[in-house]
Amino acid sequence: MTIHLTAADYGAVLPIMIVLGGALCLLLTDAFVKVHETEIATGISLATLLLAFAASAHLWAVNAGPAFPQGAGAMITGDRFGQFFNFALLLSSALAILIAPPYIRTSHFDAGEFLSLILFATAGMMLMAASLNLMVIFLSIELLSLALYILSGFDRNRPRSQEAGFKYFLLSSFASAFLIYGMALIYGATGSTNLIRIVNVLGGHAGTVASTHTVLSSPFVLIGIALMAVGFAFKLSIVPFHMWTPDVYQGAPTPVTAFMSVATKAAVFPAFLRVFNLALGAESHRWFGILWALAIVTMIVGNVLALSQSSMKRLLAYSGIAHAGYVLVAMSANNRLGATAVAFYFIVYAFMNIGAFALVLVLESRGEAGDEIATYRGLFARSPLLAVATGVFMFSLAGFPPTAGFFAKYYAFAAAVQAGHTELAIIGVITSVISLGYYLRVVVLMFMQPVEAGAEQVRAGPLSDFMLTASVAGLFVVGLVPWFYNLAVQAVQSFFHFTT
Amino acid sequence: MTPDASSYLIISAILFTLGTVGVLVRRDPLIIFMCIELMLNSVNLTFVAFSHYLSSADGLIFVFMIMTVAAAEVVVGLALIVSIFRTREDIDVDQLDEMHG
Amino acid sequence: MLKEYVYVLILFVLAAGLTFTLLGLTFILGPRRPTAQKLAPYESGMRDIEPPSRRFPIKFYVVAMLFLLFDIEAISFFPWAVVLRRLHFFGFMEIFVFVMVLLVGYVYAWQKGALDWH
Repeated sequence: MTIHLTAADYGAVLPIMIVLGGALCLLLTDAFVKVHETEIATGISLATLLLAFAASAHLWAVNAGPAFPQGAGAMITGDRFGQFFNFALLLSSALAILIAPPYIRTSHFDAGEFLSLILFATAGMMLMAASLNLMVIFLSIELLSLALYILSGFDRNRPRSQEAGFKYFLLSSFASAFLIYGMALIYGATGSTNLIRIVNVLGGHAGTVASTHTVLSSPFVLIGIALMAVGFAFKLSIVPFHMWTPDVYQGAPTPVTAFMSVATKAAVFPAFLRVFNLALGAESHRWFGILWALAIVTMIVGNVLALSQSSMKRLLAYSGIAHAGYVLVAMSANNRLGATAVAFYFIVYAFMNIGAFALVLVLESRGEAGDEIATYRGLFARSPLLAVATGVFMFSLAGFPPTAGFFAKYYAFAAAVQAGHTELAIIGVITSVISLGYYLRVVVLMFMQPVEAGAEQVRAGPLSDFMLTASVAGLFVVGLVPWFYNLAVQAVQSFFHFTT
Repeated sequence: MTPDASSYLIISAILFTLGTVGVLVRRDPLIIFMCIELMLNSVNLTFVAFSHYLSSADGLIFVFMIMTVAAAEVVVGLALIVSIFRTREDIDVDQLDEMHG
Repeated sequence: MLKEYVYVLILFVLAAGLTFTLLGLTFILGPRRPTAQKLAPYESGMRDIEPPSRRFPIKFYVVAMLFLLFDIEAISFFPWAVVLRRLHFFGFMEIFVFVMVLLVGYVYAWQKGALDWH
């Protein structure tokens, strides 16, 4: 048994290795560097992300077709689908790191420790988006979760942060157990943990393990699907597995919330797609009902509960739940357009959601109760830039044209219609209308309410200003320039090519 | 009579259910924690049973991964518990109600 | 078949021999001056009047956690050791990278003072 790895094999894992290497460097920085630690650590982490982005872009250019360098036994793929999500993940990680330094300073965090955990989580997420094996999916979901548990509870002086970390930890590891039990049953039914082999077995090809053993068969596959759906739904905060989300989002340090609200979903959805639409694609009659019901409940519950929130972070948490529902609609369509919509959604979501959290952060760092929605009253008078940016994020989250949020939602619902599930699209549109209730409330407060007497001007730092402007510009550019959507189309081609 | 694969699967399903019920009814975080470990180990048993039955090594490697990850999870969990202990007298999951969730 | 177990037997004998030799040597060579205090259940410190109600210092937990982490990593060496010969240089490099990553964690723990008792 000799293992021959080619340059292409190493290339496929290079972006992930770069991020992991950067995280280790940061740990050493934290241990040895004593002066200007925050600046140095931020610099290292941003440079790492840039390097990983370059490696990922190179992979994209090289792997035009379906890329499974090691053949059917591959653990990890360097295909364009994975790279596309890498772009979204690296982007959200970079945006979160850009807004972090002021928070790190005021909360007296260990910059190296904090940022290296973010990079470890990013590496886990990238691994997850690239995984072709249930084992790798499990490992990567744990890598990102372990880092996020610690990050959520990072603020040791704030009981809320500790509580968030601990709650997230208990519930998430509970969900992990379901996920791997589901994986075990799928393994038992198909004889492999490799997604491509599972496709071959369930697709009914002759000469596979499935045809020679009889243990497998339907109950295992069905229970396995249900258990894995529970595990994934938990990580994606899909109703009814969403209970942890508002508490964790509210309690965790704000840069962490911004990061995890986008990146966790952008990492878990591609793996979810690979497992359900690809490996279990032949079994779609079994899982469609589950996802259909989850999508409807998620959209309704997320949007309705968001209406009554008074904390901005909790509002954004429920809005995130609702958005997971929209993406789930696209995913359950189980077609090419659906997968494209999922991919496109996350580029858009990264800009608008992290942007929205950046605003919470700017207001929080002023020592006010920045989390309370009431603080947004008359924000336009106090800081026109912040108010306009928030307005754009809210309109985009609500799905107004011409912001990118509109196009993302449009493609998601179009996929459902194309698959013949108009009811999903209709419920999606109705719940989007409900969502106007809370998004526009913030906008009205900012622009149409008088500012309270004695309120001072609000000014963000240069990094935050840059990040906000970039996000606002990104939302218009991604929506109006078709290049980004074409990128998603190409990404999905590599993914679906392989099922046929 | 030698036990066949289904006996192991039934045992592990029972263990998994016990763990699940334990997580849902117990209030002490350490006990909840142990119940989660029980669930993970029942999954390990399932993997080993399947692996033996299918004569494939994938399941065994998976067990190694689960064991390593479980250890890491224990460490992170204990660290979080200890850090909460520092600020509160004792912990009970019902008292973790700082936020109205 | 049975022949293979001879090595295991040899290992047992060596292990037992070493243990008894070391224990025996200390028993024979070590000075013994028993006092009342030394024969008490706890040789040093306060007398055991009541069960300790004091909590363990956090240090115990830190060391226990570090031990657990580095201990469980040994599990990864077993599959590697089984196929070591067939993996050749590739296997060596893989485990080298693995150990280096562990080493970074170790250096980090060391520098952060997690290993100092005081």
